[in-house]
Amino acid sequence: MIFSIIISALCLVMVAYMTRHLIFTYSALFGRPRQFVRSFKRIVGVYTPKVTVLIPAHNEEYVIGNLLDRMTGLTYPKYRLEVVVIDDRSTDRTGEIANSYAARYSYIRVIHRANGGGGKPAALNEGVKSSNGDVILTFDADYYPQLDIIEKLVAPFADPEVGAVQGRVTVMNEEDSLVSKIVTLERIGGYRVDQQARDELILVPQYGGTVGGFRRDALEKVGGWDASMLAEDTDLTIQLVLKGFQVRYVNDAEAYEEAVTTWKAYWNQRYRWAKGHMQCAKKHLRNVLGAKHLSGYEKAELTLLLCVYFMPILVLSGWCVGVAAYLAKETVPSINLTGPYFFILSAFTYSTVGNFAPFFEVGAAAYLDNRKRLLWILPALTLSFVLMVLCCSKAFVDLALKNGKEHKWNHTLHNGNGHNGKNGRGNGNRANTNGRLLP
Amino acid sequence: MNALVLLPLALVIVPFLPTLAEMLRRKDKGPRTFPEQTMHKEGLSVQDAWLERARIEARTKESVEVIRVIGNISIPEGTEMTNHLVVQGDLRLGKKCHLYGSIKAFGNVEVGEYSVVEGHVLSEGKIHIGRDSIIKGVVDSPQDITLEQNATVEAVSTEKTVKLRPGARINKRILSRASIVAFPEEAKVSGIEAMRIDEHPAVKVEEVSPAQPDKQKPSLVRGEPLGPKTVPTITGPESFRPVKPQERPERITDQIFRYLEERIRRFDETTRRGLEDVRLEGLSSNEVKVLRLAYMGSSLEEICLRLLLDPPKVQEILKSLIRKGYLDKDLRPRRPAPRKGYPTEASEEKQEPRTEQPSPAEADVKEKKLEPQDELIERLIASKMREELKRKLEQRPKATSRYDDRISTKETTRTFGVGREETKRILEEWKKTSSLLWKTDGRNEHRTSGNPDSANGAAQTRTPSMKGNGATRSEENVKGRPRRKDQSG
Repeated sequence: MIFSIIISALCLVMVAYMTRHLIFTYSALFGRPRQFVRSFKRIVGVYTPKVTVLIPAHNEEYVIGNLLDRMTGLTYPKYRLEVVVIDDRSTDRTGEIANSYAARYSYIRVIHRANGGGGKPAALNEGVKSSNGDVILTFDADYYPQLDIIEKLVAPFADPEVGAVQGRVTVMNEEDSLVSKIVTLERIGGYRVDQQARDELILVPQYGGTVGGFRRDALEKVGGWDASMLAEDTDLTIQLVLKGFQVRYVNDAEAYEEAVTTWKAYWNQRYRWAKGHMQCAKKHLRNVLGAKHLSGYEKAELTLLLCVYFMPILVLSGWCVGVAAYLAKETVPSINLTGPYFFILSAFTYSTVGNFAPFFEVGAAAYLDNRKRLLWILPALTLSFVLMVLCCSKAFVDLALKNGKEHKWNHTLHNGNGHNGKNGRGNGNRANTNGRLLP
Repeated sequence: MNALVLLPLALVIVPFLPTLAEMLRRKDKGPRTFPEQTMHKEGLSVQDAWLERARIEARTKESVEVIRVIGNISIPEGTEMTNHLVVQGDLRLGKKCHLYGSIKAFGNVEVGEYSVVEGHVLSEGKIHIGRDSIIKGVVDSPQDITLEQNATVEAVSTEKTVKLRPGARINKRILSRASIVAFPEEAKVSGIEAMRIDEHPAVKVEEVSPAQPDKQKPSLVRGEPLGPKTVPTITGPESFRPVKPQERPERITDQIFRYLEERIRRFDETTRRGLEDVRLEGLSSNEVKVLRLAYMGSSLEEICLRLLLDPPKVQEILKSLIRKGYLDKDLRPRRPAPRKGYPTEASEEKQEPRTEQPSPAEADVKEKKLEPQDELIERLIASKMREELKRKLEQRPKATSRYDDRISTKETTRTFGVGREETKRILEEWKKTSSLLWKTDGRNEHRTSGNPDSANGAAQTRTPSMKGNGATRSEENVKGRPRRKDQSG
């Protein structure tokens, strides 16, 4: 009886995720913005607070030049702009390239970080300390934003309730490999449908760690980035929401990114995300459920968001049960599978099918972006799905085994042309600062 | 293990065939190319003063909380707040308030005069910025935004109309997807005070010219062209005159109201002078009745209808009254000159004062041959000998209580077809009601008019020729009078 109840509860969780994805898809396709979801397009360019752009860089010599070039071409008033490059113990020419820009442009500064650790969160905290902007925006070194992206990203901060803003990420090197194509699909579905729907449904869009920013006082209230977290962006999002701030998504503030191109790099990146999300779930789930200022649907959405990387583990366990039941039936024919085992099998089979809801989401996003041909790649998402099952399970096991210990930050290397090296180690084809391949 | 197990695995490859096809022969358009810039080109941005910069830097050091209000809120005059204000309703900010944070409201926002808001004013409803107020941030709303005189804001953006009073100042940008209406100074001011719009995108600005009597005025009504159509007249910046209604064809209601107004006017004129002080000697009963109605301001048609007389007959009576001096040519009441044979006011004073005015019924009797029974009634009423009338009526039951005789001899009345007891009950009720209404004996009431505004008892005398004047049909039927042909059916 208890076993059946547990299985039923798990089924409900799976149905909840499936419903969530389908609601998001429907909202993106047919939904209209709610009455009280304010659009800030009218005040884009009018509200010009003092902005600090933080660019953490660790061995990004192939890409940092592109971004800093882009920063000099931004349409945002330069007297209201401050660009801070945090050279995080780089062993290549990253610091040197940044210094050259800082020498030419007064609003660009470089912080050379020789000591300390903690990866990107620690570097960002270092940059915040030396900045003086009202709004803190962050860009990864491999990003290439629109010229007017700052105006679009800061406009929502005119609303005193808004604490964080997230822009859209577009994969630049999607034609490089199947992996980059899969990442492209994930990005399209994640931003064009998932984030947009969360914003329009007055839920909680997630700050993605880049192409976004915070109100300075909101950041100070939550104590900045938590260096112990691997998913520092998700952690910050939850903390801001718990402090009563709102997170908004701006779909037309876009920036290119360099996606991973190998399965190894893909694995490393997803592993860090999965582990970080599980950390966040462990850290914040109780606070979220106990928060009095959050509505019920906000709690439900935040809970689903925090636990999203647990779903592949459930699927894996379902597969294991199914295979075990099949083998048991083959080896021991006397086992009766029509009882609870059949129930388990059907439940997890349903979960597998139900988890195809993200496929609808991605397909709808590609359709909305007028990328119908990209739908042909959609079945390839199954590969990433299978990979995520294994990746998340490993992250869960590692997190359980290394409970309380410091987790290592795996940096994704970029070479400016989408080729981030074999096995993600950055030792592939070399590129110059303009992103062109060197002979 | 059965080899057929591998069959589903082989089928798994099928969904990947499109992927393989796309990978081998790529037809996808490639990475999405987003535009370099989607904002419209701005003009030169205003260099802010060092004071403003210092203020913003100082403000960032101060952590402000958000005050959230559910419902409407009205902030009293002179309030100072250091917090952001989020109102899920209407917000009314009093005069001389100072908010160091921003305002976000889901309803209408009204900022009082001489108030200062350091942050932004964002609203989903209409925004009204009072005169001499200062908004140091952006004013944004999808609805109309109005800036009163000398109000200063950083920028204004709306989906609808921006209305600017004289002296209103926008430091950065004004954006309207509908129209911008700038109200200039009064007409007596020679030049129109220029709005300071430092940065303005390609938006349509409508300047409403001051009121000029000989020139065509532009329309303030949104959507209407600024053509030659003259609709509003602006008299000043504070208020403008309401739009004059256009000429429309006269309706039947207008005629009715005009007729009633004329009636009221005439009634007011005549009520100042009633029939009490008018000698009615020498007038027939019809003349008295017509005169009374004429004094009440009744028209010719109404006199005919109320007295059931033909118009030529009424005209003849009116001419007679004019000739006798009771009415002028405009049918206004006038005091007739004393005639021979009639006592003057002076001689009347010498006589004993009469309790009531004599009725003209005596003269009427000469002119019109009435039935003996009715003649007696008229005479008795004219002399106001009510007690004698009662007595005589009792002595002549056949003449006065025909109905009672009928109900006493027959089981049912022919008129209603109801039983005797029922008829008696109706009669008693009617008597009771009439006595309550007119404070008179119900038995005699059926001979007087039911018109409450009839003051003259002589004029209220009912004769067979006065049927229908104030008396209800049921009253007549109950009395058992023969029904008129036009009332039957």
